[in-house]
Amino acid sequence: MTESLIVPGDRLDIKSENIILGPGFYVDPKTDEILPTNAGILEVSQKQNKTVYVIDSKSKTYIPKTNDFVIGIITGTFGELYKVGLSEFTQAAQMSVYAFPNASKKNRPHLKVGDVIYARVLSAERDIEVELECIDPTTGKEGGFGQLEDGYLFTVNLAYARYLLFNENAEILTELVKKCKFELAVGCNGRIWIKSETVKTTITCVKIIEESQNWSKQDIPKKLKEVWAAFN
Amino acid sequence: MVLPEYQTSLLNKVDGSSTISIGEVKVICSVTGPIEAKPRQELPTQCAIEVNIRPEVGVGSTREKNMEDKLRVVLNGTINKFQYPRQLIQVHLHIISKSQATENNLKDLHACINGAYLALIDANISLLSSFLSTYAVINDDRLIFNPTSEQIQSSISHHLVCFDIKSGRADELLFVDSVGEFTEGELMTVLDQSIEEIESMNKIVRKTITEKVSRDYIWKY
Repeated sequence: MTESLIVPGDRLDIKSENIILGPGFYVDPKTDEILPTNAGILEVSQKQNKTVYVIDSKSKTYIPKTNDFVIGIITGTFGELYKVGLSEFTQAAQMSVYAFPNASKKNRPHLKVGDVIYARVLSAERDIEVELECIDPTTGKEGGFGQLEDGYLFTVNLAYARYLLFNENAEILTELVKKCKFELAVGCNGRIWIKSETVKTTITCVKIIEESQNWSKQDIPKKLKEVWAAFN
Repeated sequence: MVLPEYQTSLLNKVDGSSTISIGEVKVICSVTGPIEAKPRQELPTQCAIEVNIRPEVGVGSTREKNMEDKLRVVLNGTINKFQYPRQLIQVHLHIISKSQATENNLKDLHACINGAYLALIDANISLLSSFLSTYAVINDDRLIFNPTSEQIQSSISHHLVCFDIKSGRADELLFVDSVGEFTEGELMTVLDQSIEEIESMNKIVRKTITEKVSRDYIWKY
């Protein structure tokens, strides 16, 4: 793992042709030099004849990117717009009341301040406000987006949230599902919404997922058992 | 010579944090950002950087303001500010225990610069390069790095040198602050020797970062 560790200022032999640069890089506008700017693990992969470079690093503050799935909290309603908070101390994103499937002037959702929604980032330009929508762009239908009712909301670090979101068979979830039934929504902004049958199981699941950020894969069954036993 | 000790990610309410102990000096540093800036701080094309240094007791005085200004010079040169337009990055440092040698604040500032670097790395703030500083004194015509407080008190000149680090090598001089009586030749020697010192220090810091990253990604392996 030491080999793939990158810190800011390291020189990388990356040719600027046929590449896609992911997060963690900055191209100097004067010299066109590719600079790594974050400390993390360098991941190189191939996609349609192009080499993709990404520096995967842990962070807590979320910066919206188009097509991210996020969990937001409604912080205000202004005419036909909702203000949605994606992370603390950052500018709220906006969402049109028509950004729901089949929404019209007469048939529109009634969300209140404090409601939790699962949405997709529609656009995230650096100079204008971030916009969200609750429609699956491929089908035009609900597709799992919309209001998340009841349940419990908590946060984990962003790298872990991405891992849980992109790996349906994440070990911690496959192990946890053996213990109890639950519904789960993971947002790229580090928020996780969980709903299970009783308050006790919900709190246990929350504790287990939070703690599992510090567990290695082989420790999961043992540690999960310990935490589960402590609560039940 | 006293080797610095580092630790990261100890505060959980901020984006990045670190502590650093160099001899008797101990500093705790936290970084929050990028967050929404106040209207008066906001810059249209780049991020604002707010630096706060707190002394071990009481409220900050001119001594801390002076250190804040010097630290801001270093941070302005290394944070990739254009990545975060109209945002704010807050760097807070609290001096837990300060240098016993009270003639100057260079030893404290030395700890602050290195602490801020680790906290920025922990907060995943975009940096154009790594940076580290060293503190040296000239005592009886000898150059001493990381001096003890007795050595500081009996020295005639004090130098704080901060370089940016590219590919593990000290590259550009970011900041130098000297106090006392010295010649131009002496300052040049200090700069030359600092390069080696910073490069060897970088190896230890890099190890700290490697440990941090493997701890962050423990769930992946």
